[in-house]
Amino acid sequence: MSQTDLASSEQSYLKVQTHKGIWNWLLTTDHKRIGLMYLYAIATFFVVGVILGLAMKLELIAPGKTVMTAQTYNSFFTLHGIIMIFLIVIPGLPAVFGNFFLPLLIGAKDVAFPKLNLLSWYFYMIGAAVALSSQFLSGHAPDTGWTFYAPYSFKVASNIVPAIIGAFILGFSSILTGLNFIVTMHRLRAPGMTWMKMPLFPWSLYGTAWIQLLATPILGITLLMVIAERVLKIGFFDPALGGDPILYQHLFWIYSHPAVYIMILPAMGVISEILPTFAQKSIFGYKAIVISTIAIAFVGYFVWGHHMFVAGMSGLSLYLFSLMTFLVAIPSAIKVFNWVATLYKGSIQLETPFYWAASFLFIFMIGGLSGLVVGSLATDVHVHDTHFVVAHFHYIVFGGVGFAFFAAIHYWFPKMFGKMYDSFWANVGWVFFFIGFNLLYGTMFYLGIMGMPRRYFDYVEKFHSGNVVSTIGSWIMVFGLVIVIANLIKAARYGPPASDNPWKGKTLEWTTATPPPLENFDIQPVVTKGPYDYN
Amino acid sequence: MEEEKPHILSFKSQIFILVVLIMLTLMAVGVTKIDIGPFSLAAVLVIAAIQVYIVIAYHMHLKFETLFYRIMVVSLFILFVAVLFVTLSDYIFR
Amino acid sequence: MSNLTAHAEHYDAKANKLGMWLFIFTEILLFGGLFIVYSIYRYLYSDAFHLAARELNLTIGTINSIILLFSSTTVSMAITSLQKGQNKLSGRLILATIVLGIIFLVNKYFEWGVKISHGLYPGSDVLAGFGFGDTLFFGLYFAMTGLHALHMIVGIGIWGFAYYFIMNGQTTQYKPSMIENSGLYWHLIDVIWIFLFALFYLIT
Repeated sequence: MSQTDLASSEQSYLKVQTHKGIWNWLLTTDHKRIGLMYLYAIATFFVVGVILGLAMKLELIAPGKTVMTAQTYNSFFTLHGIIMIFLIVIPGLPAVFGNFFLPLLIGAKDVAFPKLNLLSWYFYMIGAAVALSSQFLSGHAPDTGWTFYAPYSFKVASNIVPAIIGAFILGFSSILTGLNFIVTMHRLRAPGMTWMKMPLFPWSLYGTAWIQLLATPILGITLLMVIAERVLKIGFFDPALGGDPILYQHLFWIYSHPAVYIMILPAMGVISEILPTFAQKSIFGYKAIVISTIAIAFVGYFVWGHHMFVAGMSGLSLYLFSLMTFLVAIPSAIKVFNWVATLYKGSIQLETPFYWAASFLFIFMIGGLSGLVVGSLATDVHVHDTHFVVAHFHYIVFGGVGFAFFAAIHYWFPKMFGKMYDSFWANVGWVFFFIGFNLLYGTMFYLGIMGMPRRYFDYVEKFHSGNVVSTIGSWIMVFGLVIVIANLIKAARYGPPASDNPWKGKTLEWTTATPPPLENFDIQPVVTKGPYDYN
Repeated sequence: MEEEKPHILSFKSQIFILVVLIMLTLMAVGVTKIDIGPFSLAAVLVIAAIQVYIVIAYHMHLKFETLFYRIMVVSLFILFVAVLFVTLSDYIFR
Repeated sequence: MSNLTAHAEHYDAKANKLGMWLFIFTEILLFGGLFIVYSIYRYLYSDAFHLAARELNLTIGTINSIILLFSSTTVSMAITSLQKGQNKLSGRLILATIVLGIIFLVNKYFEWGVKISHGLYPGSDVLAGFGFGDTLFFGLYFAMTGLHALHMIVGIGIWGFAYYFIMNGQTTQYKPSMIENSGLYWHLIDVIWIFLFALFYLIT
């Protein structure tokens, strides 16, 4: 190895210059920089999505018109959904932490196809731009909801086509990332790292990647069919031409249900990484978690009809989907038991990542248990399309992915940026966020059972007080969010230097420098033990 | 450094496969001309399935790949057919 | 300094093949969505589908099927010749594949042209007059053969690149990924056509 090789291999990836100026970022093929570019984009879109949410809650603080018209409210919840689903929670954890840490966790230099990785980022940015253009082009912003249900989606005169094309392009980003991760794990694991010695975050990314690969194309073709319906009057979903609108729902949810496993599996993977570190104890039931991951990915393909219980499906389909929905809850429950068992008799380190991970367990449980209410036919009839469902999916998606994302960023921040954040303010932010989150969404369970419909701009007086509590909750939550984000931004710029392994973790990313050099490890790691060997 | 030599399909095999596939195509067309009632759809699909098997196994080399690939491809078809039937069952049982 | 990134990218044929197969899976599912739609409407309107299929030109359909089978053979032979180091022969077989592909598309163009001139296209009043089953049959016909033709056009473009890479020595018997993976893509297009031919032309 020459002197220049040695010098460059020790240089932090953030200091390496492969191109001049901004091209050092825009033309990078380094998975770590690509992860950061996703982080900055996602954080920006997240702020937009949160502002839309706040605006909606402000409208709902009182019955009748408060700050916007009904039409505006409809376009707001549509855009809020499009941004949060397609730009934040589906790409989120894989694109940011998967990209940054998958190669590190398996002892590799980069992903299998680094240039394809950069292309995925460009598809993400272009898809986002095209989707968001639907707001600014002449014509109305879409107001169909992010679900684009037929026949409204092909009849309404608004900018549905750009929104759909944007989602289609975003699908490419998702598919190519999944493809890249699968090949990476098959071909680039460090010597000695058998599949059953691979850490659990990569395993979760593996399950996720297969779903990204196999489910997204169905959404792709369904979106093309909507465009064909609008432009060519092809008739697939139009009852006037012999088509069935429910077929649209089938095709849409055949993707969109597995999509929620794209969201939650990496979140579960993050928790499986964090809890052993902060209990200083090996994960309980490694094999069971691996099998549960695969089981969730597989069984999750057959539950989509639970989004359509009142749409008009056959009786047999109703029973089948409800049964499969209850079955798919089992592997998730197994993971929760294993996480709790991991903490039992562990040496608990009370740090910020642990607070987020532990509260994840609480929030995820509420989300999951409420899922049984909607997954059961008799009860769903009463709560479908009410705020109960809104509460359920915010607990499980925002609660699940969101808490895991904040846990991950607080866990891996030192490694990514080489600096440490202020724990006190991080924890203060967490407290406000946690309280606000539960006020905001917990009250929605109650409102939903009382009968308050979702996607309605107005409501009757009996829902008023609940909505006041909920909206105030949104303000408290966002207050906490601002503290959390501001604290991290401050630390990235002015924080004190972090050590290589501040949390005493055992996985491979903690064995290399903070921040890592460009090719991750100075010497190729060779693995002999399991990933959480705290003995 | 150099892994096992890749399996090479000979020109002769490829011509043979072509002839078989053309014959199957003509057979499938022929089936539509004779009246075998409800079995015509099944017959056509069976012939198509055989053709697809030949293309995937030989032209796409799946027969000579590792077990992992064969399991993946078969699992994919099973998954797709399962999703198809679950969707179709909604319509059949309405 | 830019050597750093280039250094990380060594040639891994197994990774390339796995990546290509994974992409093939996404294509199977992309068409799969349309096959699901076909199955539903075939079930709901089986008589209308049965009759509408007779409107299609079985002769051109059969000829096109055989053309694609020939093109799959030229592709396979192109790969075999490359593996044996016969690069020039491989290049010629690729050109033959491109020609066959173009002939297929020209046939398709005329086939579609006839249908459209008879008013049998999505959104036409003629089709609406024939009823739901016909509307959906032809909607699916144009959607599925159209998507297939689009993939063929892309495939022909890919063969153009493959020809170029073989002729300038970037793709060789030691680095055959480009031609092998392009072959996988092309054979998949053939597989899809086999199903399309059966489900649209042969359900009479």
